[in-house]
Amino acid sequence: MPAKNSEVKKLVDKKYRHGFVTDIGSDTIPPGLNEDVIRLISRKKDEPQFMLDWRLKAYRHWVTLREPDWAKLDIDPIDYQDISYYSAPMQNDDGPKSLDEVDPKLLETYEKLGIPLHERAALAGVAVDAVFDSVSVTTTFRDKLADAGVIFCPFSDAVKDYPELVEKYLGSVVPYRDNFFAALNSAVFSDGSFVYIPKGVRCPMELSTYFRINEAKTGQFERTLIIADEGSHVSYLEGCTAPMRDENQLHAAVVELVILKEAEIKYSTVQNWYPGDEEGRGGIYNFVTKRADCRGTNSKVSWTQVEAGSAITWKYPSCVLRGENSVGEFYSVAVTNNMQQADTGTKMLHIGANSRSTIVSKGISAGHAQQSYRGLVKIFPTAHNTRNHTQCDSLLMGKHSGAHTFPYMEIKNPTAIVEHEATTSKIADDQLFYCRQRGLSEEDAVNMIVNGFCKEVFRELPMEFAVEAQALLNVSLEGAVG
Amino acid sequence: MKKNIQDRDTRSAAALTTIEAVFKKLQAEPAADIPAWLQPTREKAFANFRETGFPRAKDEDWKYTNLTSFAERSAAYLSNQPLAATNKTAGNFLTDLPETENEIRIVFVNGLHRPDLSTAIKPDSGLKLTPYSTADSSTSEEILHQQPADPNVLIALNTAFLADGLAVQVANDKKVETPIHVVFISDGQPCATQPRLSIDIGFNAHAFVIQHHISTGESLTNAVTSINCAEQSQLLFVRLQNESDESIHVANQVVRVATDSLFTSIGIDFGGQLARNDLAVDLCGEQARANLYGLFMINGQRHVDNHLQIDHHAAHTTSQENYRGILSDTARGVFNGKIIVHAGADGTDAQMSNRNLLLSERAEINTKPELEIYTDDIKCAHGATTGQLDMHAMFYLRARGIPEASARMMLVSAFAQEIIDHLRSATPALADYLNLQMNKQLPDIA
Repeated sequence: MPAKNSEVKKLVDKKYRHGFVTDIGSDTIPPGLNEDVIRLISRKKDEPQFMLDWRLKAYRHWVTLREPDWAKLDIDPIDYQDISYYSAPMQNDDGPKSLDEVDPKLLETYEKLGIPLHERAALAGVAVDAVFDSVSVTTTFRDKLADAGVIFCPFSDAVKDYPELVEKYLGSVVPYRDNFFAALNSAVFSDGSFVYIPKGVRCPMELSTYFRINEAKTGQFERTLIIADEGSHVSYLEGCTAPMRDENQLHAAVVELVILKEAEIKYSTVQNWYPGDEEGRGGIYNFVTKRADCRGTNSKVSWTQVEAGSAITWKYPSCVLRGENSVGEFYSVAVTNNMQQADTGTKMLHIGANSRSTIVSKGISAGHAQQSYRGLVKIFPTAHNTRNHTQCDSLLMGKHSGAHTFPYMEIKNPTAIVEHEATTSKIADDQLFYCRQRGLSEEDAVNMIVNGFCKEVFRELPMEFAVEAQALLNVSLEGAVG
Repeated sequence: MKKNIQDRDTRSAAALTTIEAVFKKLQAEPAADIPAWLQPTREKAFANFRETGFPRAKDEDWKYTNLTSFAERSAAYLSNQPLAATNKTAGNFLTDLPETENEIRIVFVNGLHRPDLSTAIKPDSGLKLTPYSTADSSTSEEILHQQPADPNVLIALNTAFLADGLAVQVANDKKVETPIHVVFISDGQPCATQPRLSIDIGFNAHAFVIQHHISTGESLTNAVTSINCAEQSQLLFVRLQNESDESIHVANQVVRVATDSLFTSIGIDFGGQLARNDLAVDLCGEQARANLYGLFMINGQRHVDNHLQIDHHAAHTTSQENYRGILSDTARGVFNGKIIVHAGADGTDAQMSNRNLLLSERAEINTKPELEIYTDDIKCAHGATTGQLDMHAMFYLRARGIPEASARMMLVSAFAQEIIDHLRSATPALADYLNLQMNKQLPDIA
């Protein structure tokens, strides 16, 4: 019996394996939000005047806004004055010069999370920028990337080192007036990643950012800005985790992608924030604004996302297809279990002629979870010969789960071909029977079927991520069957 | 943009104030031709209308359709009430109607029943047709009983100013073979017509009802149809809207379908400057089925909006939707189909398809096929496509010596046939009539 019990315990623990807290000294400002807090954040980060001005403009706009309520989500009211808007791991004033100077506890955390921060990184060939609570802790491979001319650094460094690039592009894709959470992020964002790929450069390795919320009662507001100059190419990955806590924590990020002529950005996300427990206590509110702007001819953007965590997800990575022949892609797997809620999808705005877009969205809803796909395909009168294909499929597991689809199609050009397909079903009994008959356990059979259902999207992920995503899916759906 | 939205809301609010004054006046001195038994219902409905008000510009259900012109025209025309329906020439409207054999035709002009233009209503065992103006106390009670339970603002407005309507009651086990053709004519007088049709199909009964709207000039129609299909019944319901190009037409159909019964609806919009249809179907009993088909063809600056909602409340219910739109010039079309599968409706099968043909540079279509699903043992699918005429099909026809204009018309007509064909088996005459109507418009559209 004891042996069995420990087995059971292991299974339970497996459910959210990133739920630990790192006991590390941190510099956290008291909860509350006003102009002084913004000035304090800006001062702590030693920012130039233009940043502070921009933050204040965003804040003044934010106070005039109301939270959006159109999403099919049931959100407990958020007290924005009860959140700390800045938290940084305590460190020497000079900051770490090399990995050796980074707090070993921090390194241990990343070790536990499986991030190849050390020499292992060389083997994995991934350059990592890790954001712990509000600030970027370390960026690996900075020198190697610099040889290729690629800039990959924490946002706060970019503000100091490349102010002209930041000033030119910051807010040009997601202006601070965009929406409630984007305005909040613009006012208080503390760090994030900044990437610039110069003309004609193919980034020699995959870039990756790892986000971690550690401190209680903090919000995380990071901002990512990627600029792919003419003819360049980059593949970028992000992953996220947070400790298990009973209260909800807010994560409101903004991602801006600028894609110039003939450039390409591939952006992959594996989102695994703490989803809350079975009764829906705790978990992260993941309210994210992501947008890519294909500005030049033949530019291309591809969003791939695996959304497994978070108590509530509100996220619509969008593509503005301005350039002629530009291409937008959106591949998504969203898994919700227990009391999780997700309202996610994409927007494809076709402005340039011959622009093409593909949307593949796979939703899996189990337990008492509610999930919605919300998407917009808009063809402007200027967009001749455009093409869109949308496919969104939902798989339901459990009598109390829900799956909803809200696709909007606005078409103002007759030469456009726009197609939308959606299906909703459960795992067919005959599929399950077939697998069981061949000796697979019910859980393995379900995992196999679900993985097959998501394959189209996983195929788009970089290899190491695809493996992680598959494992994550199995964990997230544990206990959903039977 | 923001100013425009505020402006729209202020104008609708002003229209509402005018309508309130008209209603108060009517309350003080009720018109003679309004049945007294309707009065309490009218008052309740007005309170409801007053409370909800016209849809606001930011209202999601009205995202693509601006109802301000409807509100303003309603206010202006209602101030003219009451208008008598004594137009002698109204009969001229009936000359082009389809030659369906032995149909029962009931005609309303400006919302009021006109016995002189209608087929004489014979007392028939099992089929009862009662204009509201002649309803006895038991029928009036049945009519009131069938009021939509949770009316939207347009239904409330219709009820508040309701003067006349038709109750179609089919007794249990009665199979009515003859089509019941209800024609609503707006003769061009400034009259805010509020047509009302209530259809009650008994247990194991069959019926076929056509609701037909014709108008001239700047007419204004706010039609409401409430339909109740009892167990094992079948109803074929056709709604034809062929109003003038300056007309504003809004229509609501509220349908309840009970166990083992089949409701089929075919909605055709060929006319209207602004047309909006809301069709809401509740599948309340096991094995209830609904087939909804629709077609609209519009050009100029016209606007047609179809909103459908199907609620699957019971297990093993089936629904199928197929809507098609043909748009040309700067016409704007809207399709919003919503399927809701409630908890407990296991074994539901729901299919939705919306296809649109854009024939000009500046035509526009907004389509939104929605699914809301709260249980797992179901099969749901929806599809929507928008495109232009198939290049290869055009080439095929041109290669065989068919002139471009004819080839285009052929392809557009073929695109529409799939919907019209659903009518052919029930009534070939009506299908031919629709083709004739379509062919008249095709040269302007294709």
